[in-house]
Amino acid sequence: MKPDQTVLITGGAGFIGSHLVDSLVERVKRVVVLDKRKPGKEWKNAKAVYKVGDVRDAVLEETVRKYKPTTIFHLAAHVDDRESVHEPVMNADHNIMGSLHVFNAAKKYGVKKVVLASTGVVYGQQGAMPITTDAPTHPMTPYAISKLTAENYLRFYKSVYGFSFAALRLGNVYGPRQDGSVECGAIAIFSSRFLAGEQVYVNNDGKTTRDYVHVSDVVQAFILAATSETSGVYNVGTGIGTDTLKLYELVQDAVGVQSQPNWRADIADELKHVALDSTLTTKELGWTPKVTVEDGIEETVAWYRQS
Amino acid sequence: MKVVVTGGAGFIGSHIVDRLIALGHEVLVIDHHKKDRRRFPNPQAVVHKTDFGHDDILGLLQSEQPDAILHLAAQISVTKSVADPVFDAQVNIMSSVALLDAARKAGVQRFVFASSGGAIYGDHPERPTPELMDVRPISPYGLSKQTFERYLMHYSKKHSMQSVILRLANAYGPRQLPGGEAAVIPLFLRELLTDGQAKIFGDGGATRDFIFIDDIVDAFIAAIEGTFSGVANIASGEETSVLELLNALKEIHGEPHEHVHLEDRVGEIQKSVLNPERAKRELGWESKTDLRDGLKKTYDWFREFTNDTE
Repeated sequence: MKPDQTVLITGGAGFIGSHLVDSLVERVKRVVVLDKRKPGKEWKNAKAVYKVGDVRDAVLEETVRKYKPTTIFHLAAHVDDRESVHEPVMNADHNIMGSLHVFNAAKKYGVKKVVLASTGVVYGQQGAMPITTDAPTHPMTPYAISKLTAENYLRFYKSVYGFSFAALRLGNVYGPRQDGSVECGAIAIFSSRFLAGEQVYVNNDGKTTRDYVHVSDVVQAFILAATSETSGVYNVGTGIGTDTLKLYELVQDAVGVQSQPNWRADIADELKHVALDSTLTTKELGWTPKVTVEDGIEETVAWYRQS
Repeated sequence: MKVVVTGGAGFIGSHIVDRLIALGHEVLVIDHHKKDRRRFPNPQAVVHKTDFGHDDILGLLQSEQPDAILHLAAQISVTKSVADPVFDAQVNIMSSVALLDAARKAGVQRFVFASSGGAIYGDHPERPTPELMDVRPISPYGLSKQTFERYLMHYSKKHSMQSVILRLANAYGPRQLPGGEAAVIPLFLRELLTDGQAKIFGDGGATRDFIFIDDIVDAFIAAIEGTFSGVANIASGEETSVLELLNALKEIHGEPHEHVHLEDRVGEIQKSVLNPERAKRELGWESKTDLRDGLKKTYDWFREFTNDTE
């Protein structure tokens, strides 16, 4: 990725994608977004070109052919891990077939690099924390399987067609613009509910841990991955697992309320602990996370308060 | 038992169907039948001439209420998967997951999947190769097979479905024909029996683990009759070079035959042999057919089939 080039972001109207667009418009000549949804008014970047459409449809190839991007950031996906258990076919169609369409178009029109938004849940339950990229993968949900499969197709496309790739195995991304009304993103849900004075639930024993990584750090990882000459799979996390109860307390403090959590035992989280070791990402891409979960939560709560 | 066999008119599927019927089971075949001369439907089986991934598969399974599904229908060509990974994924992942999801919704308790040892392990340094899970197949075909295995294991755990993944070595036997999956034995037989020229890619030192069709059928029967859930190699455990194989076939043929060596194909697996210990332990299964006996039966069938259809 160089300043005089064009890049395409699938899913660029979403939470992570919109932040990535804001950063990219300052770095490259043209930023093209393909997303099923139109971007929210306040998030729409005036310097970017927006196309509304699904990566599984002909519009993907038309967009790649017309704009000739040198880099594709592939973020469009069905990302609800729990829902994927009930809708595995729909999930696979978005995340496997959708990705294959993107990789095929990349091959056909000479795209140099594909950066895929993957996920730390591909590892499944591991013994040792934080998890390094050489740990064996044990995906436990259709969502995790679909993302791992997309990564593996990228390896094939690289070996046969030569374009380079980076698959970023993201921790739990949070920050401004994350939608707290849907059932994913604990920080978003906690923040918006506390601020609205609604009941806040903590699942099971509150000891499930995740690696919460701020969206600004994630954007930086995407940009470094696109700029780098290397190919590979990289963890994007802080290396620290934060449990749900601790998260509850941090958000509560940031909001300035005091209450006891409502425990909810019926939601099974088979995957108990995730913390991602980003040593390789630091070494090969020069990436390190800058925002601590404490500071990130302060900032995120402030954003929810305003919006 | 009522058993659904997808791809039940193909090479492996049709032999399984024949055995199931001989054992008194009720069999429903789902098979696309695109090339009728290459399909071998059992007249006693109910055959649904359709793709297994079609929209009404759930309705069919709900009304039939089978006890088990044996899933053999697939896109089976490695070469085609490299040329068109999207088509391969559509069949081997999407349609297969749709079938699995329909099976779960219809309350099917057992699901047996014909996977591939060679394509999943590739040239793995550990030989005979055990049931490794975190390997990286080279071809889209190997990748799509591995991906469906992962879905099946997820279903097995999440929905308490008994699921058996049989990673087959190189299958051979009557009804296997040249073309399609590019299996080497029918190609050699065709050349031997038409006075052509058998082609060996490379020096003939590449090895394979050949497993006879009757042994494969035994494994599928053991899978539906037992309680094992998991992954098992179905293999002879014997490593045979392509040149040894051709020489054995020449001996059976009994007439002089000049073969030719061509340049090795890119990406061809060099050494492949699978460890069948787990199948022995968990399924009480073992390979019984000696390679020479299996080849003789295959040769005889092939000669008759070719004569009949000329």
